[in-house]
Amino acid sequence: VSAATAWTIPEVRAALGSRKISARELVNEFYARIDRLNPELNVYLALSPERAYAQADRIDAAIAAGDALPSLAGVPLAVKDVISTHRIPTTCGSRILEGYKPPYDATAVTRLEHAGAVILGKTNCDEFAMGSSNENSAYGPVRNPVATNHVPGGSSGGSAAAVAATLAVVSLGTDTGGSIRQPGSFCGVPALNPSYGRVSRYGLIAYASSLDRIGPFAHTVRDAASVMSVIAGRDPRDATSSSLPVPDYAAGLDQPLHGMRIGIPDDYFGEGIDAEVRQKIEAGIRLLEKLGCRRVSIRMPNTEYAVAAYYIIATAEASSNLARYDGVRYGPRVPGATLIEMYRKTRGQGFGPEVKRRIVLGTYVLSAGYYDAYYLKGQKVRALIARDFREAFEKADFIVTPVAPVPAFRLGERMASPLQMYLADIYTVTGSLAGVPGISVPSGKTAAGLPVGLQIYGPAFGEDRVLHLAHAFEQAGGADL
Amino acid sequence: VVDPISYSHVSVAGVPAACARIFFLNLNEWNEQSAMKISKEDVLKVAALANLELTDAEVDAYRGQLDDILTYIDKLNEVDTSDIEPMTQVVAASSDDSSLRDDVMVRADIVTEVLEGAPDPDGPYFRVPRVIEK
Repeated sequence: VSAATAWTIPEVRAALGSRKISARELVNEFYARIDRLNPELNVYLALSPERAYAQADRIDAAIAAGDALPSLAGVPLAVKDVISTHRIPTTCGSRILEGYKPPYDATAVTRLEHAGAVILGKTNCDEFAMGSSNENSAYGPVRNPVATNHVPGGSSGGSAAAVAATLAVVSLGTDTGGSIRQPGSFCGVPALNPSYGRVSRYGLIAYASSLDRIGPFAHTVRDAASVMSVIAGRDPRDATSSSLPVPDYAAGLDQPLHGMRIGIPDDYFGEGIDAEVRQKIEAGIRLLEKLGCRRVSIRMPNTEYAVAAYYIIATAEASSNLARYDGVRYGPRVPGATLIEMYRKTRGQGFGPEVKRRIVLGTYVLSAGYYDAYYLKGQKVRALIARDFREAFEKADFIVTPVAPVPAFRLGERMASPLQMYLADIYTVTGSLAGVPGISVPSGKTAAGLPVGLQIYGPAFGEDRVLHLAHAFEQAGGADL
Repeated sequence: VVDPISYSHVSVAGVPAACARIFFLNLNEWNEQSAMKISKEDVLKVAALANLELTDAEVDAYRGQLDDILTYIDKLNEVDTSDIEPMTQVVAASSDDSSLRDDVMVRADIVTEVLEGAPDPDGPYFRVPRVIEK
């Protein structure tokens, strides 16, 4: 799929301000492109033209009246289908929520719309955000716009592909174990997983509540920063959202870099990582050094336990969160003679294989006699992984790793073994467990043209610095390494 | 008798080993050497707890897959966590973040909209199959 000229937020702003295009015309342009490409790419599950045109007309009226425009005025936005949007179908990529229209907006959506963004529609994803390839969607996989017989990554594959295929200027994804960063890596667009608590989860349909986060995809780090400034901040409707002040993330990007120590964990580049990915990440690290970063060696000794701890904690929380889908309040119902039979049939037929697998695993690790051995043990190991990060950030300002050990793989190639799919989350689940921010920024392409993402982790609530370094990397040509 | 813990050929220390398994671990071979951690009955029991109706094919597939995953998860036993407090959530970033808002009822006025999305609404209620027998 050839990308049309990609609009960025400053370009949209300039074009609207100089009346080169109206907000309505811009929406038309994006919907025309979606009409053409969505049948192949399967990026959007639902479009919301009524709401998009109403918002575009408000922006056009404000322009005509000479009003000051909000920061994201007229910016076409795609929203992952696990994020609630008032009266726009929100299925979480699942049959069990087919036809569901939320009675309210997620806080992130409210804030973006208030800042002038135009919601084009909802993007495909792995069912309930459970997956690393988008192949677990009940509505068929998204195709990677860079190489259409390849997966876009997951679970926010649709949101990554929407930006990569220029079917949106920016998009929202969610990340529980890597679901923003890994598709960002596979589709070659910057993708930020903010600190836990930085962006309100109100209206994010829960997968694993202690891990779930909302974050942006964009064509540029600057655009991702602009979205972050809008969606970050305390929300009384999410008790875990932080009241720390929100900086103007975009404004800080052009400051000079100095005194940047980048921690490279020992043993992160050994056997098991694809040779070309390794080569691109090492080239990325050299580029960071050219930018004045000093490389320091750090140890993250509990990393090898991260995938195991993650899949205990995430599935345990999922088994609890997904108990609410019972055919009573929303979604289709499969009839049964008794209430329990109705529950079992509705859930058995409404959920797909990966979701059921995780519910069974999560229920198992929480069940009597296993709680201490699995769930409690997992939480203790999580504490050790968080400690690894704290100690590493005493020696380094950033931690730099690959996002994934492989580039985008072919559709269907890795569906046979769930465990093998889980193990490829190794570089992202660590940061998920620790709660720290991490960005995937394009770091070259393989010989076959598949993008590779470099991950920059910062300490909790250090997304300003993570964005700063990622921006410098991008400006220095990181994507073309 | 096969010692279920003897996976030395796959249990190598370090992250590269964790990654190496993505490419080199033959799970079928691994299974043949290990005692099953989870039986068909375990899967059925857990599925019942979770109110999930599974087909026979699903039960069989999940049993093997969950066995692989639980066997892998056993590597956590290598970690000494005797003095470690469990991390139940990411600690709030500033002192007032732990304070909860007052528990005040606020009218939402979304009853009609909520019921429109329900599979079997009846006036202001959700209708369900009979729960209490006469």
